[in-house]
Amino acid sequence: MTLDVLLATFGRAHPMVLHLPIGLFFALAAMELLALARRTPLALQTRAALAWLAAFAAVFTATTGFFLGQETAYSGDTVDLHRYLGIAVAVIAVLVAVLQRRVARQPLGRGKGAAKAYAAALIVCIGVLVPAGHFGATLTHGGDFLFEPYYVSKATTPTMPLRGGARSAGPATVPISHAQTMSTFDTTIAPIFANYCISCHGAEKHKGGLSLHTREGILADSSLIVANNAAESELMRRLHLPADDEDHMPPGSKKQPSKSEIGAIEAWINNGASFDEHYTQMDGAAGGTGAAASEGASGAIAESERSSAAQPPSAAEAIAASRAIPAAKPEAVAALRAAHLYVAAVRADDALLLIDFSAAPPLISDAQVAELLVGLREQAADVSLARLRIGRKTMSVLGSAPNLTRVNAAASALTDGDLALLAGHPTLSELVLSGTKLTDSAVTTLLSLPALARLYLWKSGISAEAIAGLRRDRPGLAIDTGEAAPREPLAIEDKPNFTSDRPPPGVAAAPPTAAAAPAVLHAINTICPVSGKPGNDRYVILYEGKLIGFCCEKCGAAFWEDPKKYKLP
Amino acid sequence: MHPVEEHYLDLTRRRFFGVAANSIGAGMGACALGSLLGRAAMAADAPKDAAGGGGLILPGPHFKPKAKRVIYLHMEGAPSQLDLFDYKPELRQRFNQDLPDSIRQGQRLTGMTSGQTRFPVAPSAFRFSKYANNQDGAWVSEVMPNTGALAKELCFIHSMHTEAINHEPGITFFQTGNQQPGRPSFGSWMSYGLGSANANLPTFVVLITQGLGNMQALSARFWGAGFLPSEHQGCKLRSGGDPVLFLKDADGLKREDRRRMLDLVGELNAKEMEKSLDPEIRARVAQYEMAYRMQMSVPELTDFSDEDQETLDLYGPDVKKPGTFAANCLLARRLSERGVRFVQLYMRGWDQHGNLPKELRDQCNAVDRGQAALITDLKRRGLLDETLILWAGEFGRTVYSQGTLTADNYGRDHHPRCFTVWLAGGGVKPGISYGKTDEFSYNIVENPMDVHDLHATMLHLLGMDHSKLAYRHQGRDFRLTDVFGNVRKEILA
Repeated sequence: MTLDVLLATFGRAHPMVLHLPIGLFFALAAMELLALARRTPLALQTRAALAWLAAFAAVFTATTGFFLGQETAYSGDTVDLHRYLGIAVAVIAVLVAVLQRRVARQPLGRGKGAAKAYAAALIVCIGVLVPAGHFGATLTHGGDFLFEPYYVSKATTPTMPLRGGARSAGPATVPISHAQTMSTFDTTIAPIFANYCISCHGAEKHKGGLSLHTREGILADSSLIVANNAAESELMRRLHLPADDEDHMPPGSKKQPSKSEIGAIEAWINNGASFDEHYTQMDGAAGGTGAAASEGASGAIAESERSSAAQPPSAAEAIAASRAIPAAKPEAVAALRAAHLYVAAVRADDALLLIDFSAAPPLISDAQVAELLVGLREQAADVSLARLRIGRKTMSVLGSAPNLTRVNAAASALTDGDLALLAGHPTLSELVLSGTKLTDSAVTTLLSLPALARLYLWKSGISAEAIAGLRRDRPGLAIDTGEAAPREPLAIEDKPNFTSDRPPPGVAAAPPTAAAAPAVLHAINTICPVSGKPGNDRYVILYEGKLIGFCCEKCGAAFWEDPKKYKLP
Repeated sequence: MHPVEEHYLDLTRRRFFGVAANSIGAGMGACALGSLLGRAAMAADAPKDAAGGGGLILPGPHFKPKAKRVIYLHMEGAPSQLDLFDYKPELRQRFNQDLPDSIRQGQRLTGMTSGQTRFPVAPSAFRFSKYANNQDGAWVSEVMPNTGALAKELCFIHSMHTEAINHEPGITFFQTGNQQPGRPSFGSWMSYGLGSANANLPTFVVLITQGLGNMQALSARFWGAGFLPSEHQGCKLRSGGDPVLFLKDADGLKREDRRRMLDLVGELNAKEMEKSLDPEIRARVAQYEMAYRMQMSVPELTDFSDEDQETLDLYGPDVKKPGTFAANCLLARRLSERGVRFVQLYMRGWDQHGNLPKELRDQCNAVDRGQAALITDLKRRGLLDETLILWAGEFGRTVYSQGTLTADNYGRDHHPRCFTVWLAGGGVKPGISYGKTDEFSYNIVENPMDVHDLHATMLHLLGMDHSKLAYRHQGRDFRLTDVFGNVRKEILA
């Protein structure tokens, strides 16, 4: 809890505590007047208590108001007026409290100078209090708050009471007959702003420094609305954020624009964000919005969504339409799902489907499989039917599936006749027939598939000769017959023989010099006589004219203790 | 906003982006909870509707995938790359030499070897053979002959590196993309993103084989769902005996009775779900339904009597013993055949700090035939092209010996700076070796690849953009690849 957070919270108490001085001053004034009318003095304690309380409350209010005013959401003439008047109230309130002490026990009006001064100060205080409060209320509720219901009842078209400040936003109540000649911004967009945004981003209040009630205000920040590019416009970003995101606009507690209204703004931006043009039709707009705007909701958009009327087609549908593959029927997909079978798009936004019957009960019949597949015939691309008792019906469905590329029929009950129903399929490129009970006559069908690129024929019942023939006739076709890989390596190295004479990395091997160099001393043994581990040329001891090598210095020390103990090579 | 309200909203959001519509929870028939299920979300952006059909069709992968499922053979304990796949013949002439400082470059030693006074180079005690592949041959050690013979299908990556030095963070990093626990594992991300292709089996299955060498702990959170809804966690099948306990209904209880009981429980849970929006309720109901379906599907899955003898011989004699690696490989093939998205096999016991030559030989005898058979078996059934197989440990092993170095015995310590993994199938470029290490197999000299890159590349093969498969948790979008990861196009076919 830092100091500025504390002060800001303190400042937020202003709208609460301001009621106190107002109430207290009016109470004091009312009691003075009553006393005047009755010609009896007001009890001194009462007057003192009220006056001091009111003064204290006024000062407290002014202080909270000061800190509230530090928040930048408020600026402009009204705030300044309110601020100065409020400070004046506080000062005069203290004056009132001070002056009342000097008032003697007599009714006002017939009193001495102090009483007159006190009365004058009280009158002035109230006289300043009223406008101060008025401007303060204007800030929060808008200038027309008090008489708004009256204005609304006089409006030519039924509109919902608008939020404060909307009236000053511009053509919010445009008569219908003029709607057609006004620009789209004025008829459609400005009212949306007026309805949802101006209350905080308008003339008096401009939170975040943003004003949307004038064209200059809208254009002030170039990233807010990027013409022709709604995706990059900050305005759209904020509108599209999830409702619980703190940057989402309008804030979650306020009235939210409908989908069609957001769509209208988006369409307006995408069509150039012009303030003057009148669009007869905007691309990318939800169809209903243009009509709704001119339909007499001038400034007041209905709460109900009109989005169901004209949803733009989803991306998948657009792609499918362009490739002439219709999107899969939901009932067909649901039927497969109900049977716990797997169907998914080959990839996102694609109409082509991958269908896997792995979860099918083992005794599912050919007819049932065919019935499940026929609804997705046009979208089926990769179908897995391993270990199923499929037959003619399924194959005839697959044979007529125009976008089929892969079929896995491993260990299924397929026969040559069933396979023949796939003959000539234009797009089938991969076929798994391992573990089936076909015969060589299936080769004719296989040869008839123009797009076939991979074939799996392990234990398919097709003989080796027929496969060899198939390889000859279709050299581009990759056929896997499942033989184990040849186990013979290309080379085997000899049994490893360890030495230690390789030079350290980075150092070239020193060439042997022909000159008589001093003899390099090598140990006569490679195994340490003490420990039996490999010896190290670093640890050597010259003993009886022989160089003995050890694995470590400890062994060398041990040897030196008692050389006779150890067997030497 | 009131914190409780926020919590409800958060749950609503999570529900909306929660379980895949096509997963085990969907299509539950009479269960009232079906209407509450949300739709799958592939990305942090709103789920797209593929066929405009009101949410009936899964959005699908971001782009057309090469692989539809993954089999991940995790060699827990970190197998020694020097003794298996990273062939360094020059080290034979460096037996017992000290590791030069220019190579070690001051790398911190682990607590296990910091007490050693020397770091002698220990060349591999195994003979390597060169097998034909689509480059100029792959050298594989004598203890993996069957795997080596398949070099034409394998893509070796010699230049993997990681930051973790010990097993728990290392495995956690490899499974979840972060050394600290709490994040979902790879299989859970796949379950969340793609859902299950077979509603009768779990999307993510884990099979564990006990090792013959030095074993380290395996935690269940390696296949946990982290902050994803619980139904995405891995389902571990038991190693020996019954893969799933209590599959059979009790005597006298008919299947219809169980169905009715589950429907009633589902209704009660639906009421609670309405009240509290707790996504774990949905997860629990989903698990009940999955268990119900597994009663039918698992006995059929684990019954190898429909396999012909030739296939069983391919895997070796171990395949008849449940819980062995070979048996688990066959089970993995059967699971993949039935559409399970992510099958993870853990082989324990590769942590050879000492006695490496003997233990490694035992370990390899246990796995070599099975994993080679798995690849061959998938290939001949037309499944290898759409199944991505990964064989990996969590890090590598040091070139210097841990403990005493003798002519025929040595040990190796952990080494994260370089290690070897291999991939097969699923759109990976077959028959290549990618990346090179230096002469000591200590540093990487060409094409370093870290774990995030591996994950990004694997997700790419599965048709997913690793930067878009995300889940919002604690205010941030988490991904498997965290904020890292580059797709390595060089190893894609």
